[in-house]
Amino acid sequence: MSNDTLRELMQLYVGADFGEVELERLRPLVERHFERMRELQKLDVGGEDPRTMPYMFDRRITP
Amino acid sequence: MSDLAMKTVHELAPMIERREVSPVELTREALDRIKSLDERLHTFITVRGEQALADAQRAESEIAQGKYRGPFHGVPMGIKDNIAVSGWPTTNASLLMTDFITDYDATVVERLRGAGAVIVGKTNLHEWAMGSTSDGPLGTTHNPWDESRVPGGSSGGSAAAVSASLIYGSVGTDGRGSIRMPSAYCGVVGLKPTYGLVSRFGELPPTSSNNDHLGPIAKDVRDAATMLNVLAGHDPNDPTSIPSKAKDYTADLGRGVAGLKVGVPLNFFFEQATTEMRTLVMKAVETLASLGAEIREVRAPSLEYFPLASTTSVNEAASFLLPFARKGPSAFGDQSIWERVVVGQLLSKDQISRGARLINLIRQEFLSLMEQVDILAMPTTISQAFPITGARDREADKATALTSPFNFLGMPAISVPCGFASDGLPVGLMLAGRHWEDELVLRVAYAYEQATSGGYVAPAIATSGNK
Repeated sequence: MSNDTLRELMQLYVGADFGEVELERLRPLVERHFERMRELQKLDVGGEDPRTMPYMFDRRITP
Repeated sequence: MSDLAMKTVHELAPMIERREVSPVELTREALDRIKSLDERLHTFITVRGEQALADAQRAESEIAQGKYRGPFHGVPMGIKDNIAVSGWPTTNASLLMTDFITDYDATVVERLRGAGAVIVGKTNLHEWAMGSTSDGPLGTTHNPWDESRVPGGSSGGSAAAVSASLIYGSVGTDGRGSIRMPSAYCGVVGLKPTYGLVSRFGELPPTSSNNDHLGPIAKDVRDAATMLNVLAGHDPNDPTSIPSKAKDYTADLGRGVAGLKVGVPLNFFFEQATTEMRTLVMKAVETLASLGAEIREVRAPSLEYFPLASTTSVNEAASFLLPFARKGPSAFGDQSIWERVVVGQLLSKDQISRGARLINLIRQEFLSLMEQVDILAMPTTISQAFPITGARDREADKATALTSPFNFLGMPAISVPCGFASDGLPVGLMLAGRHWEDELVLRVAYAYEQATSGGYVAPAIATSGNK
């Protein structure tokens, strides 16, 4: 990931204009974050049909 | 100093009620102990001696007039410094918040004051309650069992102060294990109640409304149950507070564990722990078996994916800190918080939604699991307290690895001391139960405690200077 891409991401999502030092520090963390999110994306976490979602079984709201 | 400091609330309360012990003398002694020991331990950020003595005087007068309010009347207590106490700073252990003062008490503070407790001060924590060392810009808290070690976090000051008998109990907050992990590291009892049982009104900022819980840190299990009696109950000021039946959480403590099914989740929890930790906790499980519990090995395969789901919740906490994070890492003493806040902003709506659905799947798996067993038993942490120096190592990052699933699941979970590692540091046994069965979690913890240590064990620093 180039510094320009990283800088644009930070401007867009964080609303901040960080310097080179901060960007270098963030780079491995951002790359790791995207890697984890790719893993999450691959998981089958159920269909898109809201009727399949298990909200009714959330015991936290039914003491 | 007298040996009163070493006592628990349930030992002291009858003595206070009979007027054999004076709340004023008790508070004065607590303040003296803080003055002499806290130069080394740094468990408090704020101590308000004059107000505490005035509150103790009021308690003493009420008791003399026959208006005894219950077990906490006249007892010195602490509050974690991310919980509002009217007129006192709520710093979150951040330099950005040192002059932040509320004109109201958090509901838990109001309830403790209503029970007659004497609040002596506010305890140190990991900055913004987002870490496991409690080593921050407003002081480095040391573990009373070994001052070169962390007390854990984020409620590190509370756990260390209770462990060293500077106070008789404290209220902590637990978003990923911040009550249970420091309690395990410091050799005391910490309970994360069922989600919605204890009000979070006045926790500042309300960093993580899906995962955060408030609960007791106490010297022993009976004190934790007694505190829960005061803290629990619906609060209309907290939209996540859930109406539930009032219970006496001490009522069933002595019922034992005979016939209860105790699940031992070998995957995830035991797999990540060190060999020594596994051995000590398995010995604790054997103790439960010897008391008549039926032990069953169980598995929760979906937990393999839990770290992916928990990543997607960073965003919730991060939003409160974003204005500071935009200024750069120097706004934070622990600059890893800045990193987490910034990276957390990159999550997409779809990723957050997928994370929530993954949590729901894990929750379903646990609901099935809890139909097979009554309680789960496992290590609270992967290892004992780690050194203060070099605290950003893997140990610090993984300190809440075993506790955090129960924050997302909302199940009640307690850490109770279960012996010592070879280096003399305390180890915690974590017991988790079904939603709204906090009394069962306390009951099993009590049975274990009574069969082993018998209750509070003081570190050497706590007894130094005692008459």
